[in-house]
Amino acid sequence: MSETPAATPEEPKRGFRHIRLVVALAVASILGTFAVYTAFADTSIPVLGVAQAATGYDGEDIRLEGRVTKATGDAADPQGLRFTVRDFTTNETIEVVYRGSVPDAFRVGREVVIDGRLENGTLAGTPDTLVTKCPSKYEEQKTSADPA
Amino acid sequence: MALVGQGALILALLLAVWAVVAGLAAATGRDARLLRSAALALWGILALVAVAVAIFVHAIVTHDFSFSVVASSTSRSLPWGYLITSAWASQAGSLLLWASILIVFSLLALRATRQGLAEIRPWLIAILGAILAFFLLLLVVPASPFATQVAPPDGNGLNPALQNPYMATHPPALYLGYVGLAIPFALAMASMLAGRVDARWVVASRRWTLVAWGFLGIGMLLGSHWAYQEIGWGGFWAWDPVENAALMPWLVATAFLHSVIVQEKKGMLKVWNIALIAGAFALSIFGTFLTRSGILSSVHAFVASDIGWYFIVALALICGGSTVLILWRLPMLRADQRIESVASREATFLFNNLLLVGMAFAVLWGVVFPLLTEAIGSVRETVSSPFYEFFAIAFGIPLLLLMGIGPLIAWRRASLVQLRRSFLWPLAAGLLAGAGMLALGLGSSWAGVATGSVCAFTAVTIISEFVRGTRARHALGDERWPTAFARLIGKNRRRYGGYIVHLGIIVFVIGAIGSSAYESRAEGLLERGQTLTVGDATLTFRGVEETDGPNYTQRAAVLDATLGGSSIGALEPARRAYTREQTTSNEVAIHTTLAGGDLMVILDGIRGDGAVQIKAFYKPLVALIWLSGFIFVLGVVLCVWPDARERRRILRRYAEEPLAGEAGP
Repeated sequence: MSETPAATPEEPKRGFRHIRLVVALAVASILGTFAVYTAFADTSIPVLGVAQAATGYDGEDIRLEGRVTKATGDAADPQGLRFTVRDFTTNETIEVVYRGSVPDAFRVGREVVIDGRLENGTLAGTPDTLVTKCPSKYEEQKTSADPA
Repeated sequence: MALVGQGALILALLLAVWAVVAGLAAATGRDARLLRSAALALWGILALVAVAVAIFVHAIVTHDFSFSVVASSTSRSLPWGYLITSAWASQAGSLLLWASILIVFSLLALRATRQGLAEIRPWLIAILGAILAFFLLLLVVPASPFATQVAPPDGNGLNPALQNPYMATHPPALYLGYVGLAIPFALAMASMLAGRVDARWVVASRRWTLVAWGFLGIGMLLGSHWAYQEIGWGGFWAWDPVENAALMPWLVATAFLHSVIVQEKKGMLKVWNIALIAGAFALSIFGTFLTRSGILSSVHAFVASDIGWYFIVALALICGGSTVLILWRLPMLRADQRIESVASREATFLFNNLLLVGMAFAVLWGVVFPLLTEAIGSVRETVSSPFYEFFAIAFGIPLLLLMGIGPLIAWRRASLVQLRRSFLWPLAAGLLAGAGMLALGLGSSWAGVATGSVCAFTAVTIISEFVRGTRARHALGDERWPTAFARLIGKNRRRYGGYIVHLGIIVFVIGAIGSSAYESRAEGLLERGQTLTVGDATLTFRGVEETDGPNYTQRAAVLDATLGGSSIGALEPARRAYTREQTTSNEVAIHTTLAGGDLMVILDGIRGDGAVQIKAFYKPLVALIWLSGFIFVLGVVLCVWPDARERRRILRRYAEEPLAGEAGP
């Protein structure tokens, strides 16, 4: 804070020094809580494309991004929803097994994001974490666009 | 017609540029004709944007698929109401809505500054013109609603998730909030440019901030209810980047609304207030950038586009420009007084501000975490709900506590006797509530018990303010109790409107904690005749029913439901298959109890043999979340409602300290 008194040339009063200390302590506790939590709480996971995920993340929790190329079953299936996700730039793929809410826009060709654990090259999806991009909300491509 | 629409937008852009040039020239040269010309340019923009909107809406309702945007977000089978709401479903359409709201708000703001703020008007026009020019540039170059193509026989249709009545309210409310924050920002910057950094800009911008903040708040709540009903994951808030994008400016604007009271009453926190309103507007632009750029994964996932770069430049200009202005005017922004004691209302406001800004920073940190980790390492990392929930609790509980302390503590310095007298009953209520929750077996969530206690403490302090005020009026005059109560609020709308908003927040928090910390959940595959139990409820699967809607086919699972042993009829969660859009949507079944709890049933899938995968929740007190919206709106309306006495008081104050150039052009 840059506030200074308008007309108090004398030394700050004891009460003011006191409040300044308390404000500093409050700011420090907020920042401290923040620093300690982000440093020690394991709340982040890597966000990986398919090609990246295939390079040594077996046994780890990850968030996978890619395009759906094949899908069978659904959440009501005993085997769950099984689908294949391909990398955006390479042809590498990862199989995904998923049980939980399937977004309305999910289908082959859609870009998806899903959390889960990689086990022997297959992603066991965490329930209710499957997210799809929805191209009809904001136009994905213009067919032979001809600006007026 | 597309040519006319595009032409109108190009002309509007040119007028916005003229408004900036003429506004700046009028500000520096004090030329009344230039100022009049700049103001007229704004009226011209209004007319041209209205033409563009009319052509765009006409193309939508007449199914003119030669407009690319119309073809990509509507179809012939789309019901009439959703045709209208599809106007802001596309990127170009939503930006057109931004520009439309902004020009209306700009003219209203200009009108409101005729008295008392004449000196800042040229600067105000220049800044608002610059913001308008930015959005019109987006509409002319990268996101034109008037791009055309060879018309296909039918359009792609609208995402079924958006075919919901909330599409008519949630996005416009959020836009009103985002855009509304442009006005207090422009007022603050114009005041600094004009060298008038007294409390006048604060008074002028307070109501605008309240309106924008109210719309942002209600927009978020409407979106939560929509997601709760439609998406079917069982919650109302997912800490999704796009949800966070609205939350951040709302938190910072909340801090501003409290700290301006300190500036008005005590002449303190002047730099802080300008920084807050600049931060709130920058965050509203950042939120728009997040949604438009597709840079982060979101349930709202928008397509990645180059439009993000425009927002990055705008963001850099807003942050850089306001920082330079603050540094330039720093000598003028010295506080008139200092905070004398920790036990004072101004100190309470300061702590409340630190927590609100801390919370906004935590959310911002979570949102940009993937971008930061990618920038400093090779792998992008992201944080999820537990990160945000930790900070919501860690900062939220002290904030609730301060919400209760603030109204009862004196300005400048409170004595120990005063504190004891004011807080004895609220403290007792808080302790009793905590003990009661433990006795009722609700100790499974410490956060739930702590929040419940603090809510009781704060609710009692607020209610006691109403009681004390009404009793004083009743004792002083011959007013009857209801009259005394009504006049108490009517004559102090801002103060008691604020308390009502606080009560709304408490009701929201109780609903949020009740429905998340104490929810029951069950899921399973049910064959005909099988039963699923969740909490006190049972669901027995009777069969699947198929029906046809206007543009979809629906398959619903019919489940006979009981709650606490009594039948509550059949619940029918469903999935709809939309023919044209070639996609499905989830239709959640919800039964609300008198106690405010929801039995929520979601159909996750239907197997080939007719068995259904069902997910069910019992969410106690969830209805309080939606009820809080009404209380919140009531409080905001009371605060915003024109107050002739306050206006007279402000004008008297202005008359006592006249500004140079008061008459204005």
